[in-house]
Amino acid sequence: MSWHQYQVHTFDHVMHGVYKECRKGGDKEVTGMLIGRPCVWNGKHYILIKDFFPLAVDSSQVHVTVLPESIAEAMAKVSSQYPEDLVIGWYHSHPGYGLFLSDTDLFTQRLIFREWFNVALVVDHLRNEHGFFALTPEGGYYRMSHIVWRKT
Amino acid sequence: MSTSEKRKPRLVVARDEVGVSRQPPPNPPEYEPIDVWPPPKEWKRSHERQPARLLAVSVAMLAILVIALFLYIRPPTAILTLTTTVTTTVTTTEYGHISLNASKVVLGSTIEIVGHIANKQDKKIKIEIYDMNGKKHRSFDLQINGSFRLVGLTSGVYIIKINLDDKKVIYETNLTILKPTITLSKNEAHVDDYVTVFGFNFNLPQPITICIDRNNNTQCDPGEYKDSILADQHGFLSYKLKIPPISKGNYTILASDGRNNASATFSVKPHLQLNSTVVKKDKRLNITGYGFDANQSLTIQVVNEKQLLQNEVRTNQDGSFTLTLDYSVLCKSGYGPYAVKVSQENIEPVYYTCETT
Repeated sequence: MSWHQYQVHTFDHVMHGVYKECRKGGDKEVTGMLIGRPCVWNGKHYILIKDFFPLAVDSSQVHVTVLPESIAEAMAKVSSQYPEDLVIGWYHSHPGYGLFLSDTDLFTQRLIFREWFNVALVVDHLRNEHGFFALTPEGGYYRMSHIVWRKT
Repeated sequence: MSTSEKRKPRLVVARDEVGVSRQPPPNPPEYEPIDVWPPPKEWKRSHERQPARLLAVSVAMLAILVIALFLYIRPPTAILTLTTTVTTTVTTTEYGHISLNASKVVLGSTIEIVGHIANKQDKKIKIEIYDMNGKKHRSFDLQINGSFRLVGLTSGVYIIKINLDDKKVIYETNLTILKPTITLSKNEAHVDDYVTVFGFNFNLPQPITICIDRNNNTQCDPGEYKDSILADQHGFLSYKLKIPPISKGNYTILASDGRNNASATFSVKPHLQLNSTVVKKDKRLNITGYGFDANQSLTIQVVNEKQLLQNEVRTNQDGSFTLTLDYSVLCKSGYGPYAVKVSQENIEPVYYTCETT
C-alpha cells in the first residue's frame, strides 16, 4: 500500500483531542492550531500533523474570533515544545452543519494559511465527521485525502 | 539501451525545499490506519456488503422521503428568512412561531431580508431598528426580498423589528453591531521599525484614520503621524506603520472611522544606528540615536579592548541625536571591532571596524 499517496497523515491522539475540544464547545464554534511539518517521500508530498493547540475564542454557533493573546501563547508553546515543526494549519468546528469552508473560513485561510502545505481541519462533532481542506491555486478549496494512524 | 546511455548523467530536477522533511509516513506494522478518506475501494466494497448498515441507510432514506413529501404537500405558511452578508446565519421562522437568533455584523454590512409571506409577496414590510433602551433609530419600508445597508449606527446591541404593516410585528431579532478593535504585531518598537496594525469590525464604506498619539486622546488630532486606509469587505484592515522619529515612551495607535474608535498601545525603545559598519581612511562615521527622551544628556562610548572614547551629546525634541566622528579619532587601535554604547541606557550596542590598508 502506498501510504504516502494520502495527502494528510495524523494520529489518533490528535483527532481524539480535537474532537474532545469541539465537544467541550457544544454548539459553539471552537478553533485551534495544528502543529506538524510538510514531508516528502518517493517524490510525493504529504502533511504530517503531530499535535494541536486549542485557542481561546469569542464564539457563537456561526462565528469564531480568536483572541490575540491566545495566539501569542500558542506560538510560544509551539516554538518551545516543537522547535523543528511549525503551525501547519488550523482546525475549527462546524457544530451540526457539515464539512465545508465558509466564505469567512476561506478568508482566514487566504489571509493566514496560504502556503501550499497549510491545511484546515473542519470537525462536525455532532455528525461525527471531519475533513481536511486546502486552497487551490485558483483561490477555491478542495478536500484532501487523509489517514489517521494509531500506534499498535 | 547501450552502456553509454546508461551512464549518461541524469538531469536532477528535484528542488531543495526548505523545511520539507524527507521521511516516510507512518506505516504498518508499527502503526495501523484507523480512519482514511476517501476509503480504499476494497474497504468500500466490504462496507457496502454489511446488511445491517444497508438496512439502516434504507430506513433513513425512507424517513427523509416521507418528511419531504409531508413538507411538499403542506399548505404554504409565512416563512421569513433573515440573512446577513457577514455571518453565515440563516434564520428561518414561521409566522406565529418566531424564534429569535442574534446575529453579529460589522457596521456598513448589507442586511438582506428574503423569504415569502403567504399570499402577500408583493407587500412591503416595515423595518424598525431600536436600541436596547427602546429608542427608535431607523424606520423604513422595504420589499420582502429587499436588502439594506447598515449605516449610521454605533456599535452595540439593537433590535430589528419587521412589521407586515405599521401595527403588527411579525419578526423580531437582536442584532449586534461589532465594536472595532485593533491589535499590533509587536508592543515594543524603535524608530524606523515597522509595526503592523490589524483591525477588525470596521465600518465598511468609511476611510479609517490611523494615527500615533501620546496624550491618550480618543480621536486622531490633526498631526504629523497619521494616514488613511479603507477596510475590506469583511471590515478587516492591515496597515504597515513605520515608526517616525519620536521620543522614548508609551504611545497609543488610534484607528478611527470618525464615529467608532479602536486603540492599542506600544512603547518606543531607544536604539543606535551607524551610517556604515566599516570606517574608511579619512572618512567620518555618523552615530545616530533615536527614541531617547527629549533633551536628554547622553554619554556615547566607543570601546574595544584597547581604547575607550567618550562623547557627551544632548538629544533633540524628538529624542534623536547625531554624533559625527573622524577616522583618526575612531580607529586609533587599528581594525577593531569597536562597540558603540550609550552609558545611560541599557540598549544593544552597534559595531564597526576600521579600514587598515
